[in-house]
Amino acid sequence: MINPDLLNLLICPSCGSALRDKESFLECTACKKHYPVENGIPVLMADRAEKTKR
Amino acid sequence: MSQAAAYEKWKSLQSHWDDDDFLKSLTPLMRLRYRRLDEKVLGYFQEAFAGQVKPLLLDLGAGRGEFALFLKDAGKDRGWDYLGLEPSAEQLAQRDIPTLGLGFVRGLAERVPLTDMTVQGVLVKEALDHCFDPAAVFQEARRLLKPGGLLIVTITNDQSYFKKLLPWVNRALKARQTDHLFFFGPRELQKLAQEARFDRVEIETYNYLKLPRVLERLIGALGPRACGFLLAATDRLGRALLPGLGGGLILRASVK
Repeated sequence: MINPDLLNLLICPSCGSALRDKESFLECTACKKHYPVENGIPVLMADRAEKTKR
Repeated sequence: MSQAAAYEKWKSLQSHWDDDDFLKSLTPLMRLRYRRLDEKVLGYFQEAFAGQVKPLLLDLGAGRGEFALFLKDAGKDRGWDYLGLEPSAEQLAQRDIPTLGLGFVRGLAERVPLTDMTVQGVLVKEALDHCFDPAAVFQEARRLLKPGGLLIVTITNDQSYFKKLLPWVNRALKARQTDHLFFFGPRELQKLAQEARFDRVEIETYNYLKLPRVLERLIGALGPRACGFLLAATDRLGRALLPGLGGGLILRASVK
């Protein structure tokens, strides 16, 4: 679970849209890319995104 | 180095990023220099954040969280929010600090995954030379800062007096610093800040005391008080006699 204050600030590094917390990953609300959360740290790098739905 | 070459080199460095050797090699005098730099940076942000409730400081290239730890020691973890951004998984895995403020995000300083105008302060401490696109880092800092916000960049000065006096030593040092993609003097920093449309830019130099390592170790044995006095005195003298030619640079760029 990402700190809600932090989540409000974060954007998708690919398209710049807001993200939503899906527990083990963050999902872009626009392009639907998934970003992992590793040891509680969001990994927001475009080359780490996954397009496939989990 | 071209943009594409810098990015390829940066990518090749990411898989084995490790500054353990560097940190272990620091002499007491070098540690004191870094401590004094942290204190100076803290003072500038304190001034810029005066009267603001819970200002957010973004630390770009936060490494293993050294500045977060310093802020905690200084008691700023209660009044400020902090967010560290770092691309290296290895560095983040080595952080040994309690969670501070908003914590850490893994990402690029060249493409910060944060909404526009959300932070009061941006710090790029000894990290710009590790970035593959320094101009983008300045532009991102400008995009993220709220009106009245402050960017601080600290970096080694490639135009220091001792590098000018001993160019072959500088070449040898550069050859060893394989993780440094770019080198900066005051003019390069000024240009980057102006191109990113900062309203006010100030650059100062410090670290005028530069001696062979064996002498630095001897001086370090004098203790922090005497060393602090010596560092302050040489900086005052150096700035008067050799403006712009100290070993380190501090850039302050602000937004109206």
